[in-house]
Amino acid sequence: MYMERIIVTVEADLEDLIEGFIVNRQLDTEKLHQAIAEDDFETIRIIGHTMKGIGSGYGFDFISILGAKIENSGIQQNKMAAEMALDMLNWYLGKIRTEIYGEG
Amino acid sequence: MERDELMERTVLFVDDQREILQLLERMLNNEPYNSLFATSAFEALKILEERTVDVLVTDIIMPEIGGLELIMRVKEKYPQIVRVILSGYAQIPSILSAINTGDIYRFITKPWKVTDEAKKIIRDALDYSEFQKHKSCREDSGVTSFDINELRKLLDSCGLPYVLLSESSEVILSSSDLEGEALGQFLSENHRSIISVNGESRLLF
Repeated sequence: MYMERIIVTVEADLEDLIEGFIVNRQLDTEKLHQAIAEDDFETIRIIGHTMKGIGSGYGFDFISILGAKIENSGIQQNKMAAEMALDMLNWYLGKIRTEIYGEG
Repeated sequence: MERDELMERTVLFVDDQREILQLLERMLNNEPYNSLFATSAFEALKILEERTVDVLVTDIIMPEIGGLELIMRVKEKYPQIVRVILSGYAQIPSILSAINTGDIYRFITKPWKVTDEAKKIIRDALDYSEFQKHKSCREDSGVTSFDINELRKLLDSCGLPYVLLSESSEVILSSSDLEGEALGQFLSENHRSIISVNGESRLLF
């Protein structure tokens, strides 16, 4: 299924934090790319754990789901799984658009 | 209690992930208490030397000093501080261990969403702190109090059979695979008390 955009609704209270959140996830993709290239599974695990912990809080449930996958790939030292999760993360970050709800 | 009085109460949040603390600061902005934030156990201990804190909410997995070690130190040095764990389900054995030794009051599970339920847990912890302060005869600050649904969720995720009994050995809660004869057999074979809840119940695994 082709998806032009993925809409994520976030609370108005968090509006000014979202840009930083997205930028940090983009930085995560770069760190993950390097960690995968170096077979640094501990770094992969830590990045995944962080993403898992914070994604839902900011309204990005899929980031938490991907974080869990990345964390597991690090624990299991499964390079292919880490690469697949990174691809999904890149795809997701390229597609999302945020919409604000509520009053800040 | 008036809002001004409520605002004299303080909660210290400890998590090595700055983005979590940033989120908490924003989402708890209107809550009736002061919030302090630390990105490490070291920083938390330093804050505790300088400020009066009523409730500590800490992550478990942190570099250098972990959350459980922090809780032990706080319990020893500041027993009046009510302690709450913020943790993922993967740390269930650690949470149960902390519950068992009466080191924590409640737990909040990750991924962290600042829901009304999570806010209520923190408010309850503050109320419990007030209760403790006014109950001078009580020496033990480590009473563990759980919402029964919250406890069921945690125990179900363990994947182990369990039974929660009242002091009069009445079954309060059990895993779904323990019914009828299986429950009777389990009770006859297990006599170990693992944790106490409100000091009135015991949990058998």
